[in-house]
Amino acid sequence: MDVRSQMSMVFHLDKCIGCHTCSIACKNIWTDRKGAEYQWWNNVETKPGTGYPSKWEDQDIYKGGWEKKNGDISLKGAGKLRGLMNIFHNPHLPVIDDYYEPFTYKYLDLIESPAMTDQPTARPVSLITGKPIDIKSGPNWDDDLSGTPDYARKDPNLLKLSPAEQEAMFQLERMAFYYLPRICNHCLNPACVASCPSGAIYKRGEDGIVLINQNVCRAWRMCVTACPYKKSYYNWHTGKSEKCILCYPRLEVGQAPACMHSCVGRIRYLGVMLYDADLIHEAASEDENNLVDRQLDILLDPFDPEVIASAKKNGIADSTIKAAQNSPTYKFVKKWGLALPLHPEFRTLPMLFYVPPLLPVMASLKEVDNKAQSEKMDPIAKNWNDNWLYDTSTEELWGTIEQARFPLKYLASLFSAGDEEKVKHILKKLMAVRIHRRGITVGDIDEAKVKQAMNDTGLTPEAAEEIYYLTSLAKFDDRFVIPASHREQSIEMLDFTGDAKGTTGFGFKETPARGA
Amino acid sequence: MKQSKLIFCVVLVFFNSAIFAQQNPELLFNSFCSTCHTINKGNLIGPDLVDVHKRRSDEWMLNFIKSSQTMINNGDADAVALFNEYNKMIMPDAPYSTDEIKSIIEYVKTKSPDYVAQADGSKSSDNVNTEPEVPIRSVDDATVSEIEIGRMLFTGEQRLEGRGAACISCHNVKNNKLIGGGLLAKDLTDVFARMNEAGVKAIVGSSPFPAMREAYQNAVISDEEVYNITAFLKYANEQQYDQQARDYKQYFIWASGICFIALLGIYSFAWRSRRKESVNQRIYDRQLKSAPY
Repeated sequence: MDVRSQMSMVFHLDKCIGCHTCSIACKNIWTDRKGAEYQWWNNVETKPGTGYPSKWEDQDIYKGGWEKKNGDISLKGAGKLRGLMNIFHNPHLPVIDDYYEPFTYKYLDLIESPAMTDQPTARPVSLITGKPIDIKSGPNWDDDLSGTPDYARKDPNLLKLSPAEQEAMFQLERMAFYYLPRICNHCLNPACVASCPSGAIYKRGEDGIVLINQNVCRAWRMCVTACPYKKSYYNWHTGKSEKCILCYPRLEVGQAPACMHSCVGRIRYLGVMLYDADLIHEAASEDENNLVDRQLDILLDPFDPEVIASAKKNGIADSTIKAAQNSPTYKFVKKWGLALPLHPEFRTLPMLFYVPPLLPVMASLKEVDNKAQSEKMDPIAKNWNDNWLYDTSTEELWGTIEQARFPLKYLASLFSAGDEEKVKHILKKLMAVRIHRRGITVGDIDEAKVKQAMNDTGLTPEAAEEIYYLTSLAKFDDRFVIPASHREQSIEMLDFTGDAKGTTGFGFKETPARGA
Repeated sequence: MKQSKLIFCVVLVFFNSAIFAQQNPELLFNSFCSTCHTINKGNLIGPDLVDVHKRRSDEWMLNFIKSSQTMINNGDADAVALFNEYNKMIMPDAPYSTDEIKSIIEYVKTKSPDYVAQADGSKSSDNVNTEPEVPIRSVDDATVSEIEIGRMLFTGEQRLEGRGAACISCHNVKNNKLIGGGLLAKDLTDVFARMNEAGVKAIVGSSPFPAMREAYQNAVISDEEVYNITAFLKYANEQQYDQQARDYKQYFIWASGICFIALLGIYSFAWRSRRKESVNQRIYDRQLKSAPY
């Protein structure tokens, strides 16, 4: 057992309102620079939709991630031989139009325009060329154009659905969407690290954050191709690739990453998880239907004495082990089994997990004789006194999940490599917690029904309460359990700290030195 | 410390060689003039310099050696006549100081028979005897294989012993056995006719021309190589009218064009599955109403 610690994340999609505050917080801190304008280390996508960059999930286009061949895994588009063959011309790179051409507006024209009969306008100008452009796309174009045949219907995840199912998703009464915020997954088996010809990318030992060394990067851009989530970006100005750094400078001083800190819906959770590094290769090479289970298997129980002993042997600090025990991500992922990784079939073992959105049918449509019904309409209140057309009652306990507005197949394509049962089980659990809470707060649900829901999902009332607390009431310190990073210990490995003692703060303006 | 020692050594070497060169007009003569001129051994490329001081004034000689072309261009009658007499071969400007040239003129004077007889008759006759005349093999006797070696030396197929650059780098010879040579220096097809055997041999062996001198300063061409190359040049001169002039320039342009297209073909095949446009390019093409800026 080779126990290591990893900063892992959980995004609760039911709570995401798609406000993009996270994206803006991230952009303001990290990517508001020349050459990085188009980069959104954190972006929020609308599903169904093609995402950012367009159709990033379609690896037939971008050749990202790992693929299993003869029982072992190899990089799909940027392996050793293929990487070398394509080193001077990487044929699968996204182009700027796959992301979008970054733009600003000539706001000064609004102020400095001479008096005219028309209102002045601020023309959009490209942030790359500086010339006026027609805006073709943006970082979340799906949101603005959701449901158009050009974008939402070209979602690669829809390919697994039958044409009838696809059509059903876009029927007016069933139409639904939800948001999918994405950052770097800081994978356990990162394809970007494996693909880098310069060895510039590495996974930090102490917290598993994947970083690109800007001094070593030689702009081969193999990581851009290799990352199936397209979360490594090439900065055309500096000639280096960049990616989400999980705000490690903030983590090191105990603050949550900017995107998580600013999250309005409080959908984001951050915590340490312990895992067994010896099993990574094995888990990533697993068959597609077992991938999620095997990935969850290598995440270890931080209360297990054997795990703790092994962790200590590997130099993991007590504070980190304690943080792992309190980790909200451990609870969501392992204890309650509510969260799944995004596209596990890419085999990078992502450490960002999602609680899938519960999108039940709020009502069902009935076909009735309109003439007879219209006579029943109250002429003053202008409403019907029965549920003739838009029926919101639910007789069947799990009926609404079976006929959720998003076919389970769609969610399964995103979160469980096609395994519908897994998604269904989680949705049932989420529903059970709601039924449980409604029984308590409103009391209009029959106790037997609550019990049945609990039994079906294997939840205890205590666990349901815990889930409810962490989902709805959790405070800052509950959502983000960040252990001390012990930088003072790491610096002692390299330098003698006594030399630097007293060199900051009050003291000499110019340090006296012998012989000067 | 090490560095200063090194500098000292370098300075010493330079200083020594400067003194050495200045005090040795014979060495100066042998390294530059003797390629084209002899003293009392007949005309080569330039005239025999024996008793030259009786024909020309010292001042005239000094100016001519310094820059013969300047004198010819200024219309000095004697200089022009001399230039025409010797096939209009340009005599390169001597890379020596005025004092050094004067010392060379003095040295040539001392070699005139009058002076030698006057100075020490017996010794000079001894000197003549102690220099046994090496029988010089004429290139007329060159075998086919020697001509072939000469050709290979010329084209660089066989490396010169002194590791110098092959002749073809700068010179062209019109011959079917050669591809086109360099155009940096003179075409040598009929050089054998222009200068006789002795002239060609002398120039190949130790060239008076500044660029060639510089190039072969540390890459001495051996006598055997000189012989072979000269034999080849003689052969080239004799054969020149049977040779077809091959125009490689056109050919190269076409060949490079074809190679370029072939390479493009190979590349586009190797990367045939590359991404050629943005995923949404068709949407953009349809939506954009205005022309791209």
